[in-house]
Amino acid sequence: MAQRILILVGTKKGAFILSSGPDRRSWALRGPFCEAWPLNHVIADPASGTIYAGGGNEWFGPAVWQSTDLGATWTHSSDGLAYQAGDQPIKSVWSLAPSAGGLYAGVEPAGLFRSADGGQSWRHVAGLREHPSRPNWQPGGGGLILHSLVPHPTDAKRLWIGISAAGVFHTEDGGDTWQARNQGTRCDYLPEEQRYPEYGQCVHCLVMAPGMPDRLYQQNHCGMYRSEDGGQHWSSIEQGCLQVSGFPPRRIRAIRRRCICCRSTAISPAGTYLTGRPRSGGPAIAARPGRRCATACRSRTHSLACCVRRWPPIVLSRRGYISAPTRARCSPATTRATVGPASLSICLPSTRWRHWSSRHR
Amino acid sequence: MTARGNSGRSPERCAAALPRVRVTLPAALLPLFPGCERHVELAAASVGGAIDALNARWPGMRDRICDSTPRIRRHINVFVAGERATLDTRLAPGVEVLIMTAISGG
Repeated sequence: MAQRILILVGTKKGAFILSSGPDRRSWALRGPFCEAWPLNHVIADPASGTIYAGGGNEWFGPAVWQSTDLGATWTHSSDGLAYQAGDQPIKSVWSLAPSAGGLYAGVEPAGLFRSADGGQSWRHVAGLREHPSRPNWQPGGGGLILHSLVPHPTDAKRLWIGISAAGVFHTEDGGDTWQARNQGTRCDYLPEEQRYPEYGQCVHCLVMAPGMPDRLYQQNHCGMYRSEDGGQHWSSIEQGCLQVSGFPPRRIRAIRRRCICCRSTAISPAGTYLTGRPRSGGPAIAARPGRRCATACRSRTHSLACCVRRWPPIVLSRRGYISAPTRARCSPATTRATVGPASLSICLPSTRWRHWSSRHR
Repeated sequence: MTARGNSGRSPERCAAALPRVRVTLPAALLPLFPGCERHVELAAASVGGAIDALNARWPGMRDRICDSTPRIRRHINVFVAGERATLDTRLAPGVEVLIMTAISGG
């Protein structure tokens, strides 16, 4: 059966869905969905095929949208998606991840919620905000946001989360208790003798290597890192990158042995993103500038999200261009979507509903 | 599209004894709740009570108008008889309640 490729795009002006065949030669664009709400993450649940979109509307608050018919119709809910009365209200949903029949949502200000009924209602996973470090969490430039959710693929009680700028935390008991997992990641914005604290790191994106639950990657405000032990220890892998740290490396994405990190062309030396393979057993990325998609990225500027299943990758730019080159040819079959200035998520479900996503944070 | 939200206080209880008011909803809210009308007649003693009544008709609507503090959302304004109101503002019979999206949120 011919493979159908969908790209789920969350933007500041709603969700969009692009669809194509396996050759990626032409794309059909649908949207905006979800009443043009700002959406930070759009995913597909591989088990059910349901599409979820999380975000927040300045007027109407946070919600998670659902579609069980590939975007034809949508519902939304925020039932239970709230802290206790008197606490700072939730502004927006920033991350979604299915796990063991449930659905996790990370929100701003940083906190974790879980739904057991497909996003119809939510329960606060209060243990995270009961961590002793909570009073000292500091917001990053974009706010105090739980933007990364990494469930263990087989152990439903294990979950990693990333908060800017509190760091990486891990639970082994389904969210009752949490441990900071930031050893080896640094904070260049602290005094020199305090640059490796237990928590307070500005992690930007946390991902797991497919099929390797102990191998995690993170792109951090201060460098890029790899862990081989579930985040207990982190090693720098930024050596070889054109620019070491800060915001330019928007993304690090592990696709088996391949890493990819998007860069903002406004300040990146190469004017494009960088791809590389982490050397096996070594700390550094054997970096090479993106070649085949470099043209698309340079011309479109500000690539924000990137998703790679097979080469070449699909890149979403800040200005709403989606570069989705065919595999046969390297010239990008670019589709223009008027999606606004902050397009944030891409997800690639296939007919088997495996999906890969990558987001800007 | 449909929506779900928090349900709590029982709305329109003893509605017969409550003042009847006319509520005007913001246009941007209507697509979120199928069947929702721009102008709604209901019985409530306060702005909070009116929002409870709206939530009873269209579950989830309270979450769109109020945050969990609880108070009217930052970028939503409610006017009662032309004056900005809070959840505690009392309603007189026949008064007009305007729920509006603020320009600051758009």
